[in-house]
Amino acid sequence: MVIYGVYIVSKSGGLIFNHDHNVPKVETERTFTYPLDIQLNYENKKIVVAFGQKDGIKVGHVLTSVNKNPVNGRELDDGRDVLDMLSNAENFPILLKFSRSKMTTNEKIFLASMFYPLFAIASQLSPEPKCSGIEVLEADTFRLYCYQTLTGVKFMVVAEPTQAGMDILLKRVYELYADYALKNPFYSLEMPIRCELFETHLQTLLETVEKSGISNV
Amino acid sequence: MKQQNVDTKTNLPDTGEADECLFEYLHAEMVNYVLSSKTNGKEGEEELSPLEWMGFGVGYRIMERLTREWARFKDELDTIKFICMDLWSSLYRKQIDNLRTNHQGVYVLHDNAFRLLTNIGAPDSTQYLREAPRLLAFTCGLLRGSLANLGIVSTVTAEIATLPSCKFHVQVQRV
Amino acid sequence: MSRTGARLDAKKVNSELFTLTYGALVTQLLKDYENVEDVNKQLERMGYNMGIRLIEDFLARTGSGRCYDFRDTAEKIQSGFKIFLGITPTITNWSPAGDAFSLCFETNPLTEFVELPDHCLNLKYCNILTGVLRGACEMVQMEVASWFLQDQLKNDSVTEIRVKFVKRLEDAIPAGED
Repeated sequence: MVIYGVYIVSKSGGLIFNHDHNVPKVETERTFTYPLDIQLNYENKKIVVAFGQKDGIKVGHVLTSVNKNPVNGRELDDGRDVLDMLSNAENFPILLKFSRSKMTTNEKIFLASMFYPLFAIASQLSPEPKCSGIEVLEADTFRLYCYQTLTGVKFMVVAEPTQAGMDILLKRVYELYADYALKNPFYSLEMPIRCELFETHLQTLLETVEKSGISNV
Repeated sequence: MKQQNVDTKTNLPDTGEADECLFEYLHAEMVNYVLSSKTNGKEGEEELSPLEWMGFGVGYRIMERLTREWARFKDELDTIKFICMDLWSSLYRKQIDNLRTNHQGVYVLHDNAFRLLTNIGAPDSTQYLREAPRLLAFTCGLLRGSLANLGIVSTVTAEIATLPSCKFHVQVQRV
Repeated sequence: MSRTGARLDAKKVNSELFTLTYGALVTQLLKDYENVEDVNKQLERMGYNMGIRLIEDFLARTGSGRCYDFRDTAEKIQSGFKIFLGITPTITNWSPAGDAFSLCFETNPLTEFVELPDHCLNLKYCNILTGVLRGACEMVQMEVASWFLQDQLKNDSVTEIRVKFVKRLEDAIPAGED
């Protein structure tokens, strides 16, 4: 049972909170010899595998370290350009680590703002009036559950398809929001939630649900 | 029959106590009001004295009503104990966790989870350490006011080391 | 450290704390503003700020659904008073069109110890309540207006708040609810 993450979208459609709970890490590290048999591309400030998927390294994975040195953009910490290094035979054999790229906060904000109109479209598709909009969105690897409060705040959970009771979890998250964000005098409405206490309580809640099921919260 | 609310450390919302959160909302608004009024907003120390003063009035009055049917206090320490145990547990849901005194008029009241801080401070959190004193000014005044009504003139200051705990220093002024 | 004799009634003390704190606030406002009208406004504003947070608490706790009728709203407001203030006002004097009603309070914890001095006769002591109503309803996309018709502090036999439906805030209604 795995819960991947929790998102809160304000009534104006902005992402005001996101929490990566249990995102499985996929990392592969191995030694390569010249010439490199994987095609790499530099895009969105990351070096990404473009072609030549093998040994668990998949297209879309990001190069994170070279000889144990972390990669920032297309450079190492000492300023050497990684793509230049890889085109030079002298630098081989070389140890490369690839991992699945994580969403940056900006990407999440962008996705949240895309979800907003999607939700609005869904709520208009039904021939019956007063459609709730998207409550569950299902894919092969996850399910997204969404709960919109009467005030228009959306709470979302992304979890494994088999994880049960997520609708109850969302209501509990709403209560935490009422208790630890709104009762915090330093939190202003519609602003990103940066309240440690909210986060710790959420963390405990998610762990309890994963461990012992929704009936225990 | 002991009116002592056990400090619930669970994550469950305090459902039966909805009415109590009204005070917290009101208090938060008062803090906002005092901070936004015209004397504030400039650089330098935050001017919290109106909050302290309001607290004083509340403390003074609440004491008047509470002690009506109460036996006379033996001495200063007895009074302080009353505040730590009875008054505190009715106002802030729990007793003061630790009381220290040098027996010369200095009392330190230590609350491990002060009611007005429990919604903002995770244990060992430093996030709101700078802003948190705003939430204590009212209670400092309340303490000073309740003591004043019992004939003890004092100054009260608060100190926060780690949220959500805090210490109130009561310095009794000897005449 | 045990003491014989009656223990304090925590619930009662807590409600007194709220009442007295509110009183101290009103006093402070009267000191800060020269004009009583400004005090009324400030109280309303503070109530609004409380209302927009309070409503989420109310919804999260009660799990209540949306109102499609003002009578529904009236009942929800009534239960809100019950939950947060521990009093149940009566709902009366419906307007023929069903868009306005009165909340009547026999007792009001806010005014338990209050007597208005002569120079404050225009003070709407409990004006914070109208602010709370406005804030809370606005968050569920409903604009209401409310005002005091009778006030026990002004020697009326009950305190009466008139609540009037103004409009639904169509722009703010979240998707799927229109």
